[in-house]
Amino acid sequence: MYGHRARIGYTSPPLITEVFAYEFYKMAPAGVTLMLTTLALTTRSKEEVDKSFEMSLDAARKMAKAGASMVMLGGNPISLIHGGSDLAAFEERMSKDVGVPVTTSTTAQTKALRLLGSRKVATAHPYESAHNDRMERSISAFGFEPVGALACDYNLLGLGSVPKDMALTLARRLKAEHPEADTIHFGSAHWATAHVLDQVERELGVSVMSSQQAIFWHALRTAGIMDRIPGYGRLLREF
Amino acid sequence: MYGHRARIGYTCPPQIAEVFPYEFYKMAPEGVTLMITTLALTTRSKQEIDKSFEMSLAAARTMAKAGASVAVLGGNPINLVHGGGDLREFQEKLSKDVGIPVLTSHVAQREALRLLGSRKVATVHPYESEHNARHDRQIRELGCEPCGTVACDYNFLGLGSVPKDMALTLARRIKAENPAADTVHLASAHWATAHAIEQIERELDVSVMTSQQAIFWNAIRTAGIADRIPGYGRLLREF
Repeated sequence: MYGHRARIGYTSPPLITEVFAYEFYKMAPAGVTLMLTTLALTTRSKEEVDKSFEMSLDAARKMAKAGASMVMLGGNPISLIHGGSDLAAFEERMSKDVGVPVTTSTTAQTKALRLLGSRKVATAHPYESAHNDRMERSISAFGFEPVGALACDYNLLGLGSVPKDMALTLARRLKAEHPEADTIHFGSAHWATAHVLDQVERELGVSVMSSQQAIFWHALRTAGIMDRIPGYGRLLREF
Repeated sequence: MYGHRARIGYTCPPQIAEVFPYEFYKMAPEGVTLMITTLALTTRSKQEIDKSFEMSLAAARTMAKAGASVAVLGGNPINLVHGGGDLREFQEKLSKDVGIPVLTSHVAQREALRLLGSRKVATVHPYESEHNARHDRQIRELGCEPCGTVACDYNFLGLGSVPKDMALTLARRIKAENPAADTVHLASAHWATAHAIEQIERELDVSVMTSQQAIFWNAIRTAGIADRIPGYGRLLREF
């Protein structure tokens, strides 16, 4: 089989998933595959979020049966609304229930920021600016200080259309407006960011954590793949 | 965006997609991305097939709104049970309805066999051997004469676990047992076949059509990507 080293289960919130798998296969060492189930989000309504949580749990069980090395439940809103306030306990219960390690994108991002030594985090995200507050609350929920958020102004269906230069442009703007930021966070795992991680770190003298990179990194390490991977930021190169 | 040349929508019958995106990104030229929605199949029950057909139509509409260049509806059983007798007419109606070209995996495979000049087709598939007769029928529906079928004996959840050497081993066996075969068809787009296509064509002096390769080929050509792609058989290299 192609995934002879590790098979990474991932429940992907957008009904149409494009960027996550693309970036996964840019980063993944040979012998590591993605097992993907797409969930229900097209507008992020409460009904869609609720349905996606149920779909995640069902998919996690099937992924375990199908031989996944581990399962990553995607979507901060899904994890935070439904995983309960104690995500670690939720993950532990799920892991016991399905028989392989189960973790969440929220845990992945929190761990990544801790290891990077982040304190003041500025966020660029692909959604409309109405989501800035939610993004800043996410940073606080991860345990760090939010110092600004900038939006690309795309909706969920437009994530794959975000121009490739957007991540770098917004990172530069954020750092100029918030020079105290020690970390740039590219929120959401479904827009084009992987290609600029190294450049943003080098050029702006910050750490970078993108949701996709943190999910990939945590999944890989949980599955026992310790390869240091160059080209996609300190997180994958050093930890 | 990453998919600046073409964005290929694909409704993926298995609830857990693993091999299709992996092989897609092995084959895809830079600037071509996969937009994927996973459907409901884990056992291939009638209920799952009905649900998957409805999910396919909804996903095709959403893919069009999200900017897909083309949408491919995956799954011969889904296409054939619900697409009606003349799938071309069904494709045409749906294309008009959603506003982008909509294809089916069934028509993609029929077109591939026609271009390869196939007449006597031997099939290797990943499922249990009770599916042999269904695969023979499918070859007739694709316009060719079935010339032997052999099974890997895996169930739906096991597709990603089929050993990498299986495709080549069974292709050799089926050609030895059916020397009249001019084409080996590696059926189902969800098990490891892409790596073996060239070797089978060279070693056994046959054409090879895999479901994944034919879907990929038909989709990129429909999206206007005319690149000849080496390494994955005559179909992608010559047509």
